[in-house]
Amino acid sequence: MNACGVRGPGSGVGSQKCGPRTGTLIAAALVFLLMGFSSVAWGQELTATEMVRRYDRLLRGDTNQWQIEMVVKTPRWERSYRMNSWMVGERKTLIRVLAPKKSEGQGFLKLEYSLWMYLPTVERTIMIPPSMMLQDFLGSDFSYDDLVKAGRAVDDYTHRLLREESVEGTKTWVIELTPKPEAPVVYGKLILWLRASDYIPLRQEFYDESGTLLKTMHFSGVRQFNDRAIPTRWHLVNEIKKGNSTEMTVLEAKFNLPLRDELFTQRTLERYP
Amino acid sequence: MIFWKIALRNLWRNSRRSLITVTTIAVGLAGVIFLWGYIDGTNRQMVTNITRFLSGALQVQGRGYLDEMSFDNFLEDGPAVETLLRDDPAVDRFTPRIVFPVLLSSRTKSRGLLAMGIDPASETGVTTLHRTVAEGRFLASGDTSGILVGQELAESLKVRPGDELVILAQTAYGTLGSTKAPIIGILRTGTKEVDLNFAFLPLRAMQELLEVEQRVSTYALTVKEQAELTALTRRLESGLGDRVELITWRQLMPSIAEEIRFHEALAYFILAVVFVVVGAGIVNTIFMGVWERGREFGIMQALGTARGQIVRVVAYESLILAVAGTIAGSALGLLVTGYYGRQGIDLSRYAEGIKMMAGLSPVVFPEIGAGHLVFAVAVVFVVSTLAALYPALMATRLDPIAAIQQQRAIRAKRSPRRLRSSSRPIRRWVFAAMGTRNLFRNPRRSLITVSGIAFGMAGIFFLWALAEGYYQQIIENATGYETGHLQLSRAGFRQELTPDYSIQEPEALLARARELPGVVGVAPRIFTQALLGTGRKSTGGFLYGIDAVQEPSVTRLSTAVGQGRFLTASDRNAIVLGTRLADKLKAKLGEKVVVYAQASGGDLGAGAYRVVGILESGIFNLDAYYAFIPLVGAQQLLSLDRGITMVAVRLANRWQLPKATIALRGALPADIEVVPWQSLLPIVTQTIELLNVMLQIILLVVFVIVAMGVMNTILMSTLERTREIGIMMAVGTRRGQVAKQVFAESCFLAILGVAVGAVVGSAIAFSAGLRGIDLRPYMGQITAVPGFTGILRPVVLPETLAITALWLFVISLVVSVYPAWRISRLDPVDAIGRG
Repeated sequence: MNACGVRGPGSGVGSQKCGPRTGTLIAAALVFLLMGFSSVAWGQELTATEMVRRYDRLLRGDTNQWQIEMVVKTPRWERSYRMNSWMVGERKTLIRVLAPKKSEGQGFLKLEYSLWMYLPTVERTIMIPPSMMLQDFLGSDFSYDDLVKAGRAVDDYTHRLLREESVEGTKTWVIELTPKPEAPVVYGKLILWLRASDYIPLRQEFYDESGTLLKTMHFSGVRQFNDRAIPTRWHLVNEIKKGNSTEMTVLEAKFNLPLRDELFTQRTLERYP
Repeated sequence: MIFWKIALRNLWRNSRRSLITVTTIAVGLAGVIFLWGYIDGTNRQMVTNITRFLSGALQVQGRGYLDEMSFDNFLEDGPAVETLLRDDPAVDRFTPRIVFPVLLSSRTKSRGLLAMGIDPASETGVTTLHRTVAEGRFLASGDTSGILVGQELAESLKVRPGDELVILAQTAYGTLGSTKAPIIGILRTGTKEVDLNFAFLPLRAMQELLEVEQRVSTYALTVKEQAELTALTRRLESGLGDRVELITWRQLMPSIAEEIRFHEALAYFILAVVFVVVGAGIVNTIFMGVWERGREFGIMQALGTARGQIVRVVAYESLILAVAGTIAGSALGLLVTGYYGRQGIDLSRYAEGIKMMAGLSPVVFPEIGAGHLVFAVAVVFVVSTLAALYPALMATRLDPIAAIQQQRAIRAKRSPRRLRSSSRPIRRWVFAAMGTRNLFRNPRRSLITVSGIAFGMAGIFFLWALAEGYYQQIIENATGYETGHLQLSRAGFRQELTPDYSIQEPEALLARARELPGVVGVAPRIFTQALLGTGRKSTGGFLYGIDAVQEPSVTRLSTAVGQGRFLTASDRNAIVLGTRLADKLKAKLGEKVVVYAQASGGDLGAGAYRVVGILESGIFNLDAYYAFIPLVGAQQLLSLDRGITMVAVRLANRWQLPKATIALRGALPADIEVVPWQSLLPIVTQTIELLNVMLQIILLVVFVIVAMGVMNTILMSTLERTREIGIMMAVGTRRGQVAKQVFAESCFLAILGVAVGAVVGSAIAFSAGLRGIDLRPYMGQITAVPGFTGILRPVVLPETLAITALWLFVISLVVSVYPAWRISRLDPVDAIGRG
């Protein structure tokens, strides 16, 4: 993969043509960060990959620290969780469940591709075995695998700008993400709607290999946290199991705070409260 | 009425002949009745054993639960199900359960498996699980906590009774439920699937863990009579509506159900052969009895009796004999079957090697159904009645004078020679010479005797060849697709299946194995448990990493691909899926499958592969749970560098196994386990063992029938000659000489009979072997027994031929001692007068 992350005909010329442009883009990204993502219409010149990178950087930063509420709805029942999460890049994640009482203190630690969970009721840390990877995370419409693969939208996929669309009067890029052949991704493709002005995601669709829509994520409630504005309502609708959905609300978000490596260890995982 | 009287008087006057005929019919019929009862008993016992083991005869589940164990598919209305089950007269007992996937974790390790929440009180009425406790105790009614695990699982988790395990499961509300439970018992069921992949805990504890209140996933029940299962299933189906699914043990354990169905088909085939042998024995004896009366019929005709009248008398005689024979036979058969039906036949006593699963009974209780009894009696009766008519018709067709003369002529010719021979010193082989001469003088009688022995010989040999053919086929096919004859892996690998037990630098080991005598193929492999997933579906399965170049030297996997192609040497990210597995994943050719497996060092390995082929082997497990990727791909997935986890070995033939096992153990490092196919394919091993015991018992009974038949034929043919013998003795032949001569005759007939039987038996077996005997119409498609296609090909082995021939020859000789001794005790005057 060359630095641009673009595949296919036309990109074969390689890094020489690509190098300087990447530099420019990084510089541009810095400018963006400094300017607090003012809506300068630069996107048009960006490659699809770069757009995805922007979106990814926007939501994640170098590090981030969130408090979220997650409501899982099924036709039979509804349950609401509150949790804190800390993330460094795409490699390290720590999640701590704060509510409800029954699940309080449960923790999840992701290091690279491995996922550990801590269960305070039995005081035991267990590595989630391969056989559980595609099970639901806390009954939601996310799987543990989604959790582990979060943040790999740039590296695991090739990206193609499908079209420009107007969503409620806002100019939007529609980008198709196709998994690279060797990437262990269960989805056949993803379609992502990004607001052209600031790469804030509006919608993401998940498809299987045969092109069936599996689930749709609707983003809304853009809110400013320090240096950036992000959507705070993430509503994931399961298109296969009708009536099942997961709604995440970002209550609090901090970006690019220094997070110590020590945070992402089994010891921290097992230390609660 | 007069003819009945004459018939009765005839039978009475020659009571010995009548007795022999009745005995032959009776023993044959009794043998058939017993064998039928035994076969039915075996099949019933197998069903009972297997249904009482864990599954019950029938399970009531929420619709779809078998395919997807989710809370949505739990039973909606347990109490309604219970009411219906309690009120149905066909239901014996039932027990509520929750079966659900959990993660079981000890201090050091965790393992995903199926937990079963059981109600100890009612569970013990339905299954024999409580008898498999090897350590500790079974769950008791009051228990609210505690867990039972299989022995292999306990070893793998390194836990003992008293240790605590953590059980982790997703609850009905999606949360992670967890609880601690002390191990209160270790089970040893004898089946690896259960010993490694199940844990049992109190139903209440399971309901609490999963937050399902009083709900259950399953009811398991037993029925009073196997035969009522289908009707019961239908009745419950209509009573419970379509939110509920009824699953019989046949659907739950297709491989065992097919094995039993195959047993039935094979047993009936064997029974058909036994019928032929018994029928032939009866026909022989009756033929002999009627033929020998040629002179009598001649005299009757000479006195003016019409031919039809004679035939009528003979028909009445045989009718009376047949009635007596079948009554005696039924009585004897029912007596023997009844005796063993109460006592039971302990199979483990007849075959040391037989290993029944713990808690199951190796004792078979023969029991004959009324329909089967009527059928057997009818067949034997009809054969016995009709058998007499042909020789009667033939005998009465002769000119009366010729019929009378013929026998006199024989004696006239014989007598002078006897005189001459007695005046000379008696040479050693004179009796043998005289014996053979006598045989050719009465070719019809000799023919009947020879054919009696030959039929028995051919029948027994054919059955044996049939069984041998079945063994060979099932072993070669089962080992030919997956396991090979032998497997090499590091000690402990077969329990854990993780790459931590890999063989690094396998080249030296492969080379050494390849050099050993008897080894014709060696294939390096990686084998692991894996999770396979597409966007919509995911399922657990087994993953093989195989070397596309070396694999064909061991297995025929590449020939079983139904769609697409098999892996080639240039593949990297290609995968071949079993056809049922592909269906479950809804994956088609060209689509992507993501595989997760535990990599070396405990990390998670994940990879994406394109489906290039779908395997349609017809072997249930292989098609349902297995996927194949290139060895290099698997090495990458599991971070194994160049390591492998096992080696499959093919030998020139299966008889090389013991030698090759020893050679391999000697040549390879001590931590490498050499595992023969018997341990790799326990279900095949058990099938063969059970069949072997069944066959031994069947052969034993057939031997008794044949031996009785041979004895009766020889007895009849000798005793019919009392007059002739009396004359011989009257002219000075000594008793010893008579005995020797009669014995020599039997010897010669036995040799001839065995030889003819061997030729005929081999010819039938051989031609059947070439064409194959298709049992499929009687049993449906076979998919679950590894390696069995439903077509039997008997195999002719020189050893079995020699053994059968020797046994039968010895038996013929032993049974001819009695008539020889008996006839030499005759008083000459009496003998001549009686004849």
